[in-house]
Amino acid sequence: MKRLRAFINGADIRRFRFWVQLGFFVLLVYGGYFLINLGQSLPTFSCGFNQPGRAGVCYLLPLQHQTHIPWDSIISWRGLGILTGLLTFVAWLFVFNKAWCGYACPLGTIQDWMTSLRQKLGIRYSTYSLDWFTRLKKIKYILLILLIVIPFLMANSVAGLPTLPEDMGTPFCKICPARMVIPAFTGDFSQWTVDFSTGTAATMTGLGMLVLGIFFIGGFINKRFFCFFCPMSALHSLFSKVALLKLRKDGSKCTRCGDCYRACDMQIKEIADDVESKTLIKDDCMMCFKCVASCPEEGALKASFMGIPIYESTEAGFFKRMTKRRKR
Amino acid sequence: MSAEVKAKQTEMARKQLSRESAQALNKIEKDFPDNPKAMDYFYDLYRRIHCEGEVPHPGKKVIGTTCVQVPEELIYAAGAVPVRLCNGSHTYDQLGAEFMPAKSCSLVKATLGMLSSGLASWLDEGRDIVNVTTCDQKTKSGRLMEEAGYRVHHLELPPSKESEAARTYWQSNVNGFARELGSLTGHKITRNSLRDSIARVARAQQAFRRLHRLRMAPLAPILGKDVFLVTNAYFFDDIDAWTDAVEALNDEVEKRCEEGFAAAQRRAPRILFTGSPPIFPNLKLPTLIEQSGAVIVADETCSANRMLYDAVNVDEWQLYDMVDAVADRALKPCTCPIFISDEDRKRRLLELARTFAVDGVVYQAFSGCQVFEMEQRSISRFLADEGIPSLYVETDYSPDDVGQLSTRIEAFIESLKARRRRK
Amino acid sequence: MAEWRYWVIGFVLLSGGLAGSAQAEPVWFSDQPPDAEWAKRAHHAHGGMIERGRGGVYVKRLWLRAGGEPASAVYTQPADDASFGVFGIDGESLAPDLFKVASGGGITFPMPEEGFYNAYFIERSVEDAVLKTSIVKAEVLKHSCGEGHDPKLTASRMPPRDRAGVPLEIIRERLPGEDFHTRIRSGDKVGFRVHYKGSPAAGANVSLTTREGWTKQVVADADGRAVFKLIRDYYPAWNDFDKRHHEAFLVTAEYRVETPGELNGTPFEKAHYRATLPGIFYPSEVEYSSYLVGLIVALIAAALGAGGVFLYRLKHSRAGRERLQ
Repeated sequence: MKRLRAFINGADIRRFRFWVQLGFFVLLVYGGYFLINLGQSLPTFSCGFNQPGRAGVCYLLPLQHQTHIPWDSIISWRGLGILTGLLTFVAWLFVFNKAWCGYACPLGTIQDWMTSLRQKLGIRYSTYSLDWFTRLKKIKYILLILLIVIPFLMANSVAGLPTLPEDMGTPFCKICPARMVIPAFTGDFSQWTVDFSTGTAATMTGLGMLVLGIFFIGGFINKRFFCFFCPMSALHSLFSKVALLKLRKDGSKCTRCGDCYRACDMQIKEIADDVESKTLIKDDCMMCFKCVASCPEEGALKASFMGIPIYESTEAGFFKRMTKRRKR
Repeated sequence: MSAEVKAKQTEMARKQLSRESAQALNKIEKDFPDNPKAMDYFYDLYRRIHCEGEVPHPGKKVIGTTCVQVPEELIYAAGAVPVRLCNGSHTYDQLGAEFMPAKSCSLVKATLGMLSSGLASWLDEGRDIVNVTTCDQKTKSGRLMEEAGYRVHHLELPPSKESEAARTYWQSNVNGFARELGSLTGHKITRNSLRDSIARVARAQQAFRRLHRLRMAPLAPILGKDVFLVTNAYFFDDIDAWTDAVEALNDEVEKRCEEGFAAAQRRAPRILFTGSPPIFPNLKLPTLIEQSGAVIVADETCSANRMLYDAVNVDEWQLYDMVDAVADRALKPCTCPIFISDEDRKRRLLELARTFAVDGVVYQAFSGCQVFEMEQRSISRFLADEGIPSLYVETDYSPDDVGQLSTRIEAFIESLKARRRRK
Repeated sequence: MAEWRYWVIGFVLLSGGLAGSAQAEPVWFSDQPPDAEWAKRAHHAHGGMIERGRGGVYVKRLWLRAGGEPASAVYTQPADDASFGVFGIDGESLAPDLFKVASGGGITFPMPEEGFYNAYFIERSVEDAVLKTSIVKAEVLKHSCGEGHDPKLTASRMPPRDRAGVPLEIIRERLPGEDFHTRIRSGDKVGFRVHYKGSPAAGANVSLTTREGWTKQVVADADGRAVFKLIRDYYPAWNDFDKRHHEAFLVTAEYRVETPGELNGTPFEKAHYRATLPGIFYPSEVEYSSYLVGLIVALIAAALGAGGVFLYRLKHSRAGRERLQ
């Protein structure tokens, strides 16, 4: 048991993650061909536009359909539909928490591949200044609110204003790069267009292609560029406190050396600086556990599931990984 | 001053230094029984360098450093060898007194004294020094080194380390330093050279951490005076030879642990040493403590733990990330009292006290070292609140206060023993 | 399936002399309301216009129209003695209501379940010793996203009803991968099968007419199949373009047999069958969406982003970083 533990804690998390991510990528992007269907409430970007390859649908797509609901039918079976969808979503999240982002999300995986490519080319990554970081991180919450409110305003007239046009439907999907990128992996480029049928449609799809262009540059130059703005991550963070999988920190063992912060793709400063909190899952966290792997202090950081530590920072593990990675 | 007089003075200093070092080494080596066999490497090293005046790193480009915050990985990567100039010699302390005000730190005075003595000949070729702007005295002494004819790179350190602004400022300074090193040595820092030097330092750190961990044993397997000597040797020894010697020592110490060997009395109070760094030959306080029947099991000083404990983590093994990583390691975990906040130092002391089952803390401050003197009150109060007894000792490099000190230390250790019995 | 037999018998008993004019021009089902008053009651849904019945259940109202061209076909009244019927999801027979109002008439029926409903309206007459039978059919989809998208359920309800129940029947074949959301678009190839009493009606004349009057006629092959490629039939001013515009087509199949017999005591020497099936299709995506513009937008964004990053780095490059590279 002790040896197994030492083996796991000494493991190269990057390689482990690479394979798990690849597995999930194949499952979520091509699983549909093998008739795998994980339902409509997946807490990750298993893009619904990727037909028939998808093995399940990103919860944001049905959510945006469901919130397209007249006010008076909320207390009805349609309202119940919203509730069951949300409960299924929370159930998925309850188990794996934000590891959906760090290990399962196909768009996240694609961004990690872009990062590897940049690394191989020896091009420096960019980061946000702390000032911009705190300013920009609000965007994902704004997007989350909009993707719920816009469909609702399509079905309801508020304060006598006309309802929003039909072409505003699934507004987040319209600007989400996954809609273009993920179907492309099954050879479907039909989303890579601007729809000129109406002004609204042209604006939304044009915006989508604009975001796609920015995504390719941003994702190349910033680690996990899009995740920082992802409303799914915002939705996760509303429920992540109660989930079974946790990232724990023992502040007394922390030297605040910042090694974890260096490794963090999401630039979460608290991982190094916060020595008070017992669990440290910030809204941007994707639970990749790179921080655990890069912590040289015995047991200062650990990933735990239902209170059982599954991956822990150790001195031996740290130096083993450093030596290994250096040689590559 | 004629050259002849100068030469005479230098010769006098050499003799005095040699005598001082031999006395100190003798005390450390001979006054204690059962020294580990593997310590002979270090005793011999000090004998050669300090007593016999052997030149460290002959034929190599040597760059003097003044503080732990100098990213030594960069110096190695540029094909040079860093040698820490901080020293504990009373001879140098006296020589340096003419450059500094009366009430200033012995360590800074000794450094200036050494540089002006003409005895640091191994630095003479390039006369290159990296001086980190830590405390006021070190900062300003950088200017005095320049006046003495040295080429000094002033590496600017921010006065706090919490903010991102401080971090970026420091990283950009370290990057500037890295660039300058390239032109200084003629060897540009490359991806491979930096990667290798990070590996070398990491290996040394691993060896140190192993030694550090071994000292957690309930029966102290090695005395603190020896460990200070070992870590102090890292200042000037060849890094790979040093690491091998430490690993040999570790093997021996580990064996001692398995055999249940106790380097001190079985019930000797366990001491955590903090404050101004004990540097050879000034191991006055550690030796006094261990002669009085206690054992130093851990420390929080920049001549040992603070210098060797914290490790570099690189995310992307490219130059851009490695330089920043090395810079981060020098700044972020540092518990030097020059920073505004003392929170990290408190937490570090508490964690060390807990994991090493410490009975009491000895806090050394060199008189004139304002920052350590200033932190004394808050640290002592903090330790008292945590129920850890502590002794604050203000001293310098002169041997005059040994009698008075030993009385205080014996009293402190007696009180620790009494406290233990009560428990 | 006993009901089914009664229904067939009902056909035979009920069918009588309809107005001759109905035979002259094809009669077909349309879900488009004839006037503004009726339009108020109709709502858009997947599968066309619906009305809301008691408890929110979808109710389909199909109007009878006469005329070969969908654009100019008139709304007609059903004869009192016409026979009609609707088959539900599992082929069960439903009892539709016949309605007649000032502006037209037809049948209405509720659609409680997800899937395809098949509605029929049959008129027969004997003229000049020829039995003329007009089989009006509509295949109506009921789908509401609120009821979910269980792929297994969808798949089980996709196959068209192809059991022979009426003398001549047009069956639309499904598009590859078709589900409740699939839209037939101009440019698509749509296949139809024509069955005469359950067997392929090889040699039947099958024609497809779009709303604007474009017609193509083909002869059904040995399997009774006829395939049409839908043309573009929608040319609005660019700013009036609606990608959800319903273009209409009408498929008509004619089949003659030389079998003598008699209808309500009137003998005939041969029989002439005509079946109709209406459908809708949408403008093709290529008519309104542009890969080129999309790529240009993305490339401009990417170029601006890359340029921005490059310039920023050039300006803010920290001391030494470039030379260290």
